[in-house]
Amino acid sequence: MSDQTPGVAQPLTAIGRHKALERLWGTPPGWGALSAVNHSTVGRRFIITSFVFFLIGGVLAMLIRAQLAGPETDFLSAAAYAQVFTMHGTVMMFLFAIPAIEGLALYMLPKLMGARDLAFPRLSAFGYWCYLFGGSILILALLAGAAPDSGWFMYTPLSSKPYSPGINSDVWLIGVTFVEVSAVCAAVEFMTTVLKIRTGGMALHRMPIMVWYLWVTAAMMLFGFPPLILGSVLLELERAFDWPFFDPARGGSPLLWQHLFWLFGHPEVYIIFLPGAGIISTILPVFTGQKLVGYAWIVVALIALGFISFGIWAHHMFATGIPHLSLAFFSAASTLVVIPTAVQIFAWLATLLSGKPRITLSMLYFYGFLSTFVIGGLSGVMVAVVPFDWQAHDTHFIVAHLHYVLMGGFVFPVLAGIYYWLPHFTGRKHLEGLGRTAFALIMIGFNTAFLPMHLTGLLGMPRRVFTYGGEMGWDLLNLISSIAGFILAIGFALVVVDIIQVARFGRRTRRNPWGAGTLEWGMPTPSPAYNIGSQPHVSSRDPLEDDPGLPAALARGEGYLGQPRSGWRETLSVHMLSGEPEQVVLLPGPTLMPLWTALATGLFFVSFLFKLYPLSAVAFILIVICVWRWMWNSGLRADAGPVEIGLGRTAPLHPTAADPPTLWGMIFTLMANGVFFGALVFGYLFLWVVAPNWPPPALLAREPVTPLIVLAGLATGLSSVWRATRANAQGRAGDSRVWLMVSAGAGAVIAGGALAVPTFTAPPPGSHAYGAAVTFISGYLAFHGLIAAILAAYAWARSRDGWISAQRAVEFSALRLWWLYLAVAGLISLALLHGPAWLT
Amino acid sequence: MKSLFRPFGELLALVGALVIWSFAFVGLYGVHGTACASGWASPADPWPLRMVLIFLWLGMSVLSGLYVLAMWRRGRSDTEPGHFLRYATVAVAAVGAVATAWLGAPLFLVRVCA
Repeated sequence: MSDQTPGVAQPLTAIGRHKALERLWGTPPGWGALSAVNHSTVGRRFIITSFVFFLIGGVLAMLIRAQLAGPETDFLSAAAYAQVFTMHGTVMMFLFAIPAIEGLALYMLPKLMGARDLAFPRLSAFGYWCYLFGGSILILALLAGAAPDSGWFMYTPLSSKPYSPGINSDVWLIGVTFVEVSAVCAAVEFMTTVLKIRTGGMALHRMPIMVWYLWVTAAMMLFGFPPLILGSVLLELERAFDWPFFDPARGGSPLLWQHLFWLFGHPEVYIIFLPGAGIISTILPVFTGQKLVGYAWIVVALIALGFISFGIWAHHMFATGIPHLSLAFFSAASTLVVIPTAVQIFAWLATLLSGKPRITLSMLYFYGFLSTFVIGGLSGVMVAVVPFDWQAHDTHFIVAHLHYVLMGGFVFPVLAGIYYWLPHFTGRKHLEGLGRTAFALIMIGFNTAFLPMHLTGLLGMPRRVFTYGGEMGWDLLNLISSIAGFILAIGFALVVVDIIQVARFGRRTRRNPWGAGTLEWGMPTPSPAYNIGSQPHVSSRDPLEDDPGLPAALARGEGYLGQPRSGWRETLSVHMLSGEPEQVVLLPGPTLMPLWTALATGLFFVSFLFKLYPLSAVAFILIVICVWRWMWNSGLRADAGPVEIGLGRTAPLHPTAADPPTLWGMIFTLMANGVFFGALVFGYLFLWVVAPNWPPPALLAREPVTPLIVLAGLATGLSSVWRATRANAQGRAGDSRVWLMVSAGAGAVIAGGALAVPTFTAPPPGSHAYGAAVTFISGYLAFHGLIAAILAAYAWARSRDGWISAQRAVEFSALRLWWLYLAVAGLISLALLHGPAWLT
Repeated sequence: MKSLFRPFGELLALVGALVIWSFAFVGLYGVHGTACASGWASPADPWPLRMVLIFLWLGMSVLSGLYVLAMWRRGRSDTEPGHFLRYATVAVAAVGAVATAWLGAPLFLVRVCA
């Protein structure tokens, strides 16, 4: 932030405004590009990187098809094949699909909502670096011949130390967790942005349908990823320190891994599908000239879909011996989820039938999507029926089904979206000839490769076998699939060539070439760094349709925040329901802190991978220092009144507002954290109830000292934070800082009390899953006590240096939330840790 | 602080019936799994567990039905966003209630602990 006081805005011409805003929002050239935090730049990086990984995944697919083209092929060894198919799935799911969605949302969300950027631009940049570094770890391992080889879902015990003694599985657990950090960051970012960072007048019912889709997707990411992060951490602890969470001989259970994985894994399918469906719901009205039929029904359907998809996780576990009635619950949910999906499909068909479709390349991909996804959906209903699933489980039928769902539900819509938004990204329009050829090759190649694969599976060919005998009768079908696979690859190569030639040589196009009504087309293309000269006050879902002169008016500054001032990057924050302007959010400019923080995080992960644990501790300290410095310059050092925002209105600056985006960021972070903790509680109880060799041979020693220490720390910490808040609100900054120090001390006491449990009273973590679980829960509690102490110390330092006042007090709101969470999680942890010892 | 979270509370009300569905889901799955794993129930004597599960399911179904009713009876809003939110909340609540009711079908068709 270049100035700490609101300056006087100078009237500008449209060109003058463009230059002034571009100076403010632009990314520095050369090495300075590493400091970019602008959502357009970071979004483009995400998208391009994800497509590079997609090409790598595609090459791996070609290796698989080459190997399976004929019987008894020795093109790849069994070991190499295991790495190739594991990496194909891992790359496509974790390094392509999810990040491509993140990139699309990063780039599009602010533009769709008439905003200038996302809520937390530095978090976006940090997420990108985590993604790049995490993905690079996996690819480097592949090049070194040490890639993961236990399948993309890493089932234990195959991925456990005895059966996977090398570094391969560690690479997956470390690399994928690193990438997942990026996904959780993105989820928090998107949740907050949609809730608060919209343009004026954009009430919930006026949000573009794509925004609803991305919002539900973000919520699913927020709740879906933590169980997998937990599972990955537990498995890595088992592999690194022999803590037997998944070893049945010592009270663990391989099924626990499956539960944690699929708690993420099945919602993941919908996390991938929903943005694709959002693209379809966006382009269909444009190319049919008909408003989307059933907007409200679609909103209801996708909320239902987002929720119910979490009740399907065990439908991947029908063959694991779970009791039939339990399977039937999952089967019921699996069949139920078809209905909200069908609501969307019928809404699309109704839109199609009531309009006059223009057959563009995007629409061709829409037709491709519709036919392919419906086939995948129907075979999904087949495998949702338990007896059929037992027949088809782990065969190539499932491979065919999942490719129909993922290609149909994600890749085709993304290709439709690429051709729809290509003029937005490049400012150039494509010629359809090459693209249509590519479409034909992709459709023919895909269906010829994967339709026969259903039959291959029904004939009994299992997944993941590196070769097969000629007498099995699978050779012709496999040969057809392989030849068609290469046709599919040529189709994708043509798409890449087409996009490059459009970006390089395409004819420049006018703004809004498709005649769309949504705000992303109300800006110059390619979009400037600041997106929009001023932010509109909208009164419908299609503002450009209502007022074709709106883009010019916004460029003239006739909206909100049209006059740059004080060197601030400003964007509006609104009431979450009505969309009425509430605050002016001051966003940070380019900084290297996200990169440094990601490097420190990378050091933490890589040192753990190579078992350099002292270095991991150093890396953790570096992360804390980086985050501290990152946060330090946010906010204002003096109180400020409301500022003019245009259209005759005023609004407070966000550091002086009651609920700045930071607060919502904290709330969503704690929600993700709560899901992580909930999954941990589930895992602990699951082992007690289901795993063999329970109850454990030895329980925690029955002693009152450590729980009382933790309880005292919780009570002191909570009360001192409330007292600090009250003192600050009354202008007694000195008293407030004293209470903050007490709060920091209480956090440290909780950390110490929690760590005393595994140190003095618990059975060794390697002896039994109980000891491992107790140690992990204690560590979780200690870590949160430590963070509470650091947050209190941070607030103390901010208060001392004048960043906090009675008016500017978001640090206190965030700290109170953290302590509330810690109190709840602490009490549950104490019950889990000490309850069994006292009750038996 | 409370007034700040009121709008967020309205958003959370949007998914209230689906939260009830998820509790019903986890409850049925958890009670059935625990009863079978602990040896409290067996296929030879299925009725005690089946009755527990049916009561649990009925309770949750009634709860989700009452939730739909409560959302339906909430006053109409004068504003467009309020009207949309009310409509969506009632519709999502109805979906949640149907989902909870549908969840019980296997209780009458499939053997416990088998």
